[in-house]
Amino acid sequence: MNRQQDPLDDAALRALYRRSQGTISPQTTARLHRARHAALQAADTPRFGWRLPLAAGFAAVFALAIGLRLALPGDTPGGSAPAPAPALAAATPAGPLDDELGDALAGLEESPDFYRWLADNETTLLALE
Amino acid sequence: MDGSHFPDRAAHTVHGRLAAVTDAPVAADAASPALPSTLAEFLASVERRAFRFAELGLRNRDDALDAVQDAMTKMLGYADRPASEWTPLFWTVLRSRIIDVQRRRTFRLTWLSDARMPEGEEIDWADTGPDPERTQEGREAWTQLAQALRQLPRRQREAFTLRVLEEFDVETTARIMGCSAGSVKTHLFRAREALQTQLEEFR
Repeated sequence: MNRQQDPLDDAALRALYRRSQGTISPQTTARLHRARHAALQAADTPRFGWRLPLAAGFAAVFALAIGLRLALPGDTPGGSAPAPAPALAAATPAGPLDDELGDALAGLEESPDFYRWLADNETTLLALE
Repeated sequence: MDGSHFPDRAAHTVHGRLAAVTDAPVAADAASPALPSTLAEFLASVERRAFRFAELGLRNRDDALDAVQDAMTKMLGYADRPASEWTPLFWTVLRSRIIDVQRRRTFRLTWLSDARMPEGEEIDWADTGPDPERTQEGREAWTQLAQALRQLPRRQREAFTLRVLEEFDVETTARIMGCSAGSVKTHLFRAREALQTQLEEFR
């Protein structure tokens, strides 16, 4: 492998390469400058501007709303349902409501059908015996 | 022997002819040791070299401009890095962008019958020197070199351009190309052999 070192030829190629950089057409040079300025302007401008904080704010609000709903499972979605409850309680006294409930339960206990069924059952059992 | 020189002096007769037309003041200093103080300054210093590098690889002016702009935009993410890292980072990004464009072309070639790999646009050359004959010689010399480089396999062309024309050291070239220093030397050696043959054919 007999290779002569001749940096002059590399130097000639490099000189031609560098000259070629100085002979780029004005149109292409202008486009290169525009490309560079466009890239640098993109650097000066925040990439997301005001949209990123706004999106973060919305996300925080939604997360808070979801968290509140999970923390208070009995709440209705509207959030205004608990308010009428005291009004209803105030309009309907507790005493009469309990009386009505007691009467209903007493009616069930004294249901003639229940005793008729018991009587039928006893007759059936006696017949079997 | 790192493959940074041509194996045969005889191959340089054409280079000798090139040298006659390349003694003009250079437009850009590829080996400038001074580090740029800002990213804008760095991009301004590298844009012409980047365009020529991309033009050699992509054979299309618009694609080359797009690749350079993409690389510049992506470099913004590295603005906080030390200025000494900007050069290898930029060339790494630019090389990656060029490869992306080449792969997209390959995909289109596979799926679309009307897509064609550019055969090579006319070289972008607008030398307005006072000597028209010398201007023409310079244009022809660069056209010959560019065509020879475009005939090389991609990695050989990258190794030659980065190592010889851009004068990066072997380690930096390897970092940019994402390979070992030994691979760079191998690609460079093969590139020299191929260029020797092709440039002899131009004579």
